[in-house]
Amino acid sequence: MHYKILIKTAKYSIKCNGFNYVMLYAFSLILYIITCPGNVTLAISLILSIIMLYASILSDKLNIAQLINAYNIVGLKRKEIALAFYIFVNIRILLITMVYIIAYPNFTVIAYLFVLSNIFIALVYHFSFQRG
Amino acid sequence: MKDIIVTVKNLWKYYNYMGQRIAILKGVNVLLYRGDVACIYGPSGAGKTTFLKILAGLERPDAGEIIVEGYNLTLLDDDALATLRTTIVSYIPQDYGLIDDFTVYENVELPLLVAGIPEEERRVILLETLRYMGIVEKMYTKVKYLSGGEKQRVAIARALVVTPSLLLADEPTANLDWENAKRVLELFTRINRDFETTITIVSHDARVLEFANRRFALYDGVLKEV
Ligand SMILES: Nc1ncnc2c1ncn2[C@@H]1O[C@H](COP(=O)(O)OP(=O)(O)O)[C@@H](O)[C@H]1O
Ligand SMILES: [Mg+2]
Repeated sequence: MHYKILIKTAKYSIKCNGFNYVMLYAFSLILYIITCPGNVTLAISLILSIIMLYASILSDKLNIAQLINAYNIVGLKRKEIALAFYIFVNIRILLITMVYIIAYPNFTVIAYLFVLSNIFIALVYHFSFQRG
Repeated sequence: MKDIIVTVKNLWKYYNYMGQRIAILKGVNVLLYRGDVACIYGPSGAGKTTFLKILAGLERPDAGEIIVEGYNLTLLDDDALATLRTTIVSYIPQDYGLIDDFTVYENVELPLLVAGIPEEERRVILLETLRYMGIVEKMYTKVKYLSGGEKQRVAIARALVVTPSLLLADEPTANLDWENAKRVLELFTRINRDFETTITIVSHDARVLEFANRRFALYDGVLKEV
């Protein structure tokens, strides 16, 4: 697949509404982690992050459906469309990752965020986007 | 001898509706020749969209055989069907299937990116196609700011950039007033003449029939040439 399609998809993710929510969330998250340090905070922040990602995907549901539909029509393969969706979401995960790098640079926490959110997003993709 | 481009043999398609298996297409047979402009007329719910999607490889039939340019669609896997859409068959959905937040240029560029055409060549093909479709001055406008007729042209341009041998259009006039609809239909006629593209249009508007050389009616899942 042409790398330009992936770049366009990433840019699209940033331009869609849901990205603004993630950005606002990211700012509050920095404050939260810095002002109330501790394991409970981290655990809660991970759950919040995944909920927030989900909310941002939901709010862009129509845009994503439009993107996937167009990609399908012009002949992108199934796996390539899944990859595009993965990039779309991971741009947002990257933003949240940066919060942790700034506020609590701990590899384990970031790994958890990455793995958990991607598992969750894979489920969302499977159940709501893959079939039309 | 005319060159056969589409063969459909005994095509059946079912959907599940409230637990029941309902037949939408009941043994459709059709032969299209290169250069045909075929128009399929049928009331809403007759199965026109389903039929086109099957020809485009976007849906699979439950029984029957479809051969497009020598490719037996029922034997191809999903990836091969996708590749067919970047080379041989182009599908224009009723709602255009464009990305509203992309510019005209970006939308029409997509199939060329998928086909792996290099940058300069892409630009040349794009400008040529947009000029041909009369939308070159809108090329940096986002699709969401266009009128229905303009969106239809963008959708046709996107279908045309890969120079398909078969162009499928789903209700291309449904969202347009008759003046604009006529212009779009004349455009299809011109595309057919200039590129020898075989075109299949489905519509619930019988006025579309006069623009075709092959006329079909789809009623209750049965296709008949009229
Ligand atoms: N994915 C689907 N699942 C179940 N029923 C469907 C599906 N797609 C279409 N149908 C039904 O099949 C019939 C034919 O649909 P369609 O091909 O869209 O007709 P047309 O385009 O001629 O209006 C309709 O009754 C529609 O409700
Ligand atoms: Mg329809």
